[in-house]
Amino acid sequence: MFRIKLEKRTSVSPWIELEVSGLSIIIALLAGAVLLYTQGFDPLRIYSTLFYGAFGNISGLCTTLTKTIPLLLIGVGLALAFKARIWNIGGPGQMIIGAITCTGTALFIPFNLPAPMHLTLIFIASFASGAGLAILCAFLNYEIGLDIVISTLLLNYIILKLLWFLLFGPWQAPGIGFPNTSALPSSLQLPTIPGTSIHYPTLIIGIISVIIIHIVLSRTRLGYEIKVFGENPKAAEYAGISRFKILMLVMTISGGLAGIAGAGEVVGLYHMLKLGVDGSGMAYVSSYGYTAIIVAWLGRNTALGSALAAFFIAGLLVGGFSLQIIEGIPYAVVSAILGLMLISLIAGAILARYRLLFKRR
Amino acid sequence: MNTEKNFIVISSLIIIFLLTFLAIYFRLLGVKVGVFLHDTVIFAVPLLLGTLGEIYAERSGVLNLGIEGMMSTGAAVGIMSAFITKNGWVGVLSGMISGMLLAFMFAVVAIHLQGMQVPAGLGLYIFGLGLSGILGSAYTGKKLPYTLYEIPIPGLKDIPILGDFLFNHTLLVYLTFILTLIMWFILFKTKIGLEIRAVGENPAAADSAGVNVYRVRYLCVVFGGALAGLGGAFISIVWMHYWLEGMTAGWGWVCIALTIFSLWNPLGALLGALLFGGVHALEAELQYLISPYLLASLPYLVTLIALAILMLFYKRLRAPSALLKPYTRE
Repeated sequence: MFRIKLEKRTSVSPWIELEVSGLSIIIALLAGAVLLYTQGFDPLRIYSTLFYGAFGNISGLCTTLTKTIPLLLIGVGLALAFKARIWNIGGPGQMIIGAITCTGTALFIPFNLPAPMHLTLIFIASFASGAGLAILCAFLNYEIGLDIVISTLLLNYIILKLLWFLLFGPWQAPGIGFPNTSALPSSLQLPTIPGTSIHYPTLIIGIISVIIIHIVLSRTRLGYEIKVFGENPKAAEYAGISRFKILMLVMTISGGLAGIAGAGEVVGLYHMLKLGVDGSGMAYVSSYGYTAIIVAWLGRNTALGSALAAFFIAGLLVGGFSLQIIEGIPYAVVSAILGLMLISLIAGAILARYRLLFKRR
Repeated sequence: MNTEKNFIVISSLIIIFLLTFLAIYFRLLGVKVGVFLHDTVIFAVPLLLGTLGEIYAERSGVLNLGIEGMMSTGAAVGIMSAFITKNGWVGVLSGMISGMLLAFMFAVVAIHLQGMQVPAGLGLYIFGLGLSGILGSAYTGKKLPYTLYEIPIPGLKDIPILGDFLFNHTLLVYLTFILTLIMWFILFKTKIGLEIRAVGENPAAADSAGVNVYRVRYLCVVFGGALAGLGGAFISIVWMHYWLEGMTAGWGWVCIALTIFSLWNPLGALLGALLFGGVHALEAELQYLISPYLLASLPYLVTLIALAILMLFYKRLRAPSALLKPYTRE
């Protein structure tokens, strides 16, 4: 008989992080394969369809890049928040409020602005609204100790209902009664890379945020404070790190970036506000706001890692969509695989701290 | 303990006051009070089940955020097996078992592998919703003919209003209320309950007193999963009689909030669940007055505000000390 024993690692190699991420992708895909097999599908063929649909051809790759944009923006913000162990899971709500603010600013401001200024205003307003929603939760947490997980999550549902209210009520486009607003004027539609739907201005904002957050986390005192705060809040307090500052800053940035992601979908992709603007068209849980949680963890809560993970997971989403069309497989398969991926990422964290030893009894 | 008693007395008074007020108000509006109260109980049961399970898990020191995932899987598995076996009770039981399996998976990660409980719970939430979407997709929107039947209690059911409120339900509803009392008794009046609370407050001390910390935590988390799965199956089989993707609509998250609201006490959970069930029932009655979409945000909004008010006034409110902390014997 063998006995599994855990031994504390004395030093942690940076490769272990990559190992854990890679391993959990494999575990999740394997478990997903078992799930597919029990439902009577051939996992190998399904996965080849999935990855071909996402990465194997130019049009799939472009769609993947388009879906990378919101995941990148929200994911990198969440990486920052999770680094500080602040559980902002209000991505869907913050994204939708960003989209709502964006549409409101685009369609209903009473004065004329030149398009570039108007677009700048739209992005600033969306950032502010997403950040505002997050700050509300941070404030409730700081002042009365209301758990951030609960407040951000309940707000997701509240904001979703607000979106429904607007789209079936005052903001609905006149006509046949689809749940969407009228289209934005063409001056307020972001340019795309010709022939694709990649709205590159938003992508550039995303890439700049990744770079800034990477520099902040790895090169500055603030980044160091965030890390210490996340790993050991008590030690952080003794070291004079302000909890208020970290909480507010982290929530502002993660909420604001989610707001920008929402605005990007409106001015860049759909050119109107509609249901499923947060990517939840297929199922509520497939909202980019939730998927970005997995992006941040798969990227080990680092900025660059999250950027790579955003691209990979966007591919899974696109592939899942083509599966539904080609094979008639419920899109929920992707959610199941993503959930398993997150669980195995958390389970795998133990490998970074301990070495598994197999000993003869 | 004294604070808890005060809180329960005060909130019962508030609820009784609110219900009386609503009863009079509804009379004026022409709403059938009996129907409203009957619905309140139906809506309260899944909330109550999820909250009771979470109370035990958190009392033992494990926060399982995946209730929503276990509930939705319970709802899908429940309706699937009810359709296959043509029996509502089998459906309810299999929903319960599916919740237990998911909770066990979470327990291994959170307890033995010492994984962080918050993200692991989020993973369970996303996985559970995905799984329910796969399993239930074949049954979307189909009406289930094999539900549980109401068993009115002879004599008591004829009492006006109160009869509809409490004594005209399925067996599962009665059992849930009895379970609440039993769970309260076990948690606060027996040695088992003492062990659970000790493990959640100070696992090292409990361990040296001879309590098996791991066993207590596993049992509590898996038991919590069973109740969440049962709650989900209740939603699809007894309440709705059909299945839709995402039909649990955040109920599991309201349970998490209710766990705090109840001050980790099964009796508090009963009050909280009735209050929020009532808000949801109210929503159905008021649809003609306010936009139904705005109204639909009411249960979440009320949960958030109620929790904020509670936290504002009960500064001493605190979770079990060892919550979120994995235990290792070193």
